Amino acid sequence: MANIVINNIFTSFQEFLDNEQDAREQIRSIVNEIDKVAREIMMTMQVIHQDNGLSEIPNCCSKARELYQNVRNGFEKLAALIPAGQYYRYYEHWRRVAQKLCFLISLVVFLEVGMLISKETAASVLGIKNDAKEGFHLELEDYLMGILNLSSELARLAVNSVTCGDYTKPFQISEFVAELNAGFRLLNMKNDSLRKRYDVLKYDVKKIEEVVYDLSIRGLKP
Amino acid sequence: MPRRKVQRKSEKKYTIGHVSQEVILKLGETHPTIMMFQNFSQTIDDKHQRYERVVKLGRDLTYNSKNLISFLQVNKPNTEYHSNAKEMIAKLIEKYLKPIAVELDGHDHYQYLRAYTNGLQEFTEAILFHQYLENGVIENWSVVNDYFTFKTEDEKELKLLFPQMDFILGLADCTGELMRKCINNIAVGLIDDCFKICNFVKFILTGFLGVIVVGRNEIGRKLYTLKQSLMKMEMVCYNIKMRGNEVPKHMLADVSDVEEEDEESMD
Repeated sequence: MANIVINNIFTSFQEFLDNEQDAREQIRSIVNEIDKVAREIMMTMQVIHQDNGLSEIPNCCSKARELYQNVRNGFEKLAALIPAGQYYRYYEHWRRVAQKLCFLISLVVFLEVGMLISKETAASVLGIKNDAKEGFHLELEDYLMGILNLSSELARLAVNSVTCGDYTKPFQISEFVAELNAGFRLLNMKNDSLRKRYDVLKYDVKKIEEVVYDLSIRGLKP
Repeated sequence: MPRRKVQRKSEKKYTIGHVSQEVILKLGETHPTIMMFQNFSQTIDDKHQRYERVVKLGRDLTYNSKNLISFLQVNKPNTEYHSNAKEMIAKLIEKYLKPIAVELDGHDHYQYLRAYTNGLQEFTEAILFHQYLENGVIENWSVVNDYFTFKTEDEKELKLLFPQMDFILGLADCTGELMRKCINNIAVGLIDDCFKICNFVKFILTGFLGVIVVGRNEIGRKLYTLKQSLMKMEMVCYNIKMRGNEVPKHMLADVSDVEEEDEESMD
C-alpha cells in the first residue's frame, strides 16, 4: 500500500520534471536565436566607434532597426510558449538578452534623436508588452540595466568622437548621461544586481565629464 | 600631489562634474525623464514591500509549522491531540497561507516564490508528518495542493502556487521527523511502529533514487540526509531484532539510547 502511494508520488514528480525540462529546452533554443540577432545588432552598432563612424550613424541605425524585426519574431514565438502567470518561472532564460536588446535600441534612439527611449517604446520595438498584466512583458529591471549599459557605451563614444574630430557629441552625451544619473538617484534600490550596475554609472559620468573638461579648458567647446 | 592638481583645476571656470551639477539643478519635477523615473521608483518600492511582506509571512509559516511538528513529536495520541493538531493545521492555512495568496493575487507567484518557498517546504513537512501519524500513509502532491485554494470573503477563489518541487523537498525533510519518531517509539515500547516507519522511509528513498534531475538543485543534498536518517533507523531495527530476544520489551529503550544521542549531536 505504502509502496504504491510513494511510487505514485514520484512518478508524477518525474513527469513534472520532464515537462519542465522540455519547456526549458524549447525556450533555450528560441532565446539562442534571439541572442544571435542581438549579437548581430551589437556588431552593427560597433561601427560608430570607427574613424569615420559618426557619419555612418544613420546607416547603422537603420540597419539595426531592420534587424529588430527578427527580434520581434523571436519574442513572438517565445511569448506563445510561456503560459500566463509563469513569466517569472522561466525569466532567467531571456533576462540577459532582453537587457542587451534594450541597451541596443536605446543606443539607436539616442543616436537618432538624442533622447532617452521610454520603456514603452523599448517594449514595442522588442515586440513585447510594457505592462506585466498584459502578458509577456519587458521587465523594468531589464530596461534599467539596458540604459545603464547605454551610459557605459556613450562614455566610450565620447572619447572616440573626440578622436574623430567631433567636439559637440561629448557635450550632448554629458548632458544626457547626467540626466540619466538624476533619474536613477530617485530609485530606492536594494542591494541587488541593479544596484551594483548602477554604481558603475558614477564612473561613466566621471569619464565623460573628463572629456568635456579637457575640451572646455582648451577652448574647444563649440 | 593629487591635492595640488585638484586645486589647479578648480581655479579654472570649468571643473569636472559641472555638467552633472547643472543638469541636476536644471531638471525640474516635470521633466519627462524625472517623471518617468518617479514612476519607476514607485513600481520598485511596491515590489520590494510586497516581497518583504511575503517573506515575513513565509517566516511565520515556517516557525509555526515547526511548532506543529514538535507538538506531534512530543504528545501522545488521544482525542484532544487529534483535534488540537487539526486546529493547528487550520490555523497555519488561515493565518499564513491565505494571506500570502491574498498578497499575491493578480501577481505572478513565481516572482515571489523565493520569499515563501522555505515556508512551503516546512508546511509540507508538517502536513505529511501529520498524515503519516494519522493514517500510516501520505497523500500525493495533488491532494496537498488542495490546501492552497482559498475562498475570500467576497466568494472569490484564490489559488497559491505550490510547486511540486517544494512538495518533494518537504517530503525529504519529513523523513528526518519520521526517524525521530521511530526512535522515540522504542522508548515508549511501540516496537512494531519502528519497523513500519523504517520500511516506509525505505520506499521513500527508493522513490528519490529513481528520480532523474537535471541541473543544480537541492534534491542531492536532501537525499544525503535522508539516507543518513534511514541508516540510523535500520541500525535501530537491527538492534531490536538482535537484542530483542535477550532483553525484555520494556527495557529496550536503553538499546536506542546511543542512537538518540547520535541524532541530537547531528542537529
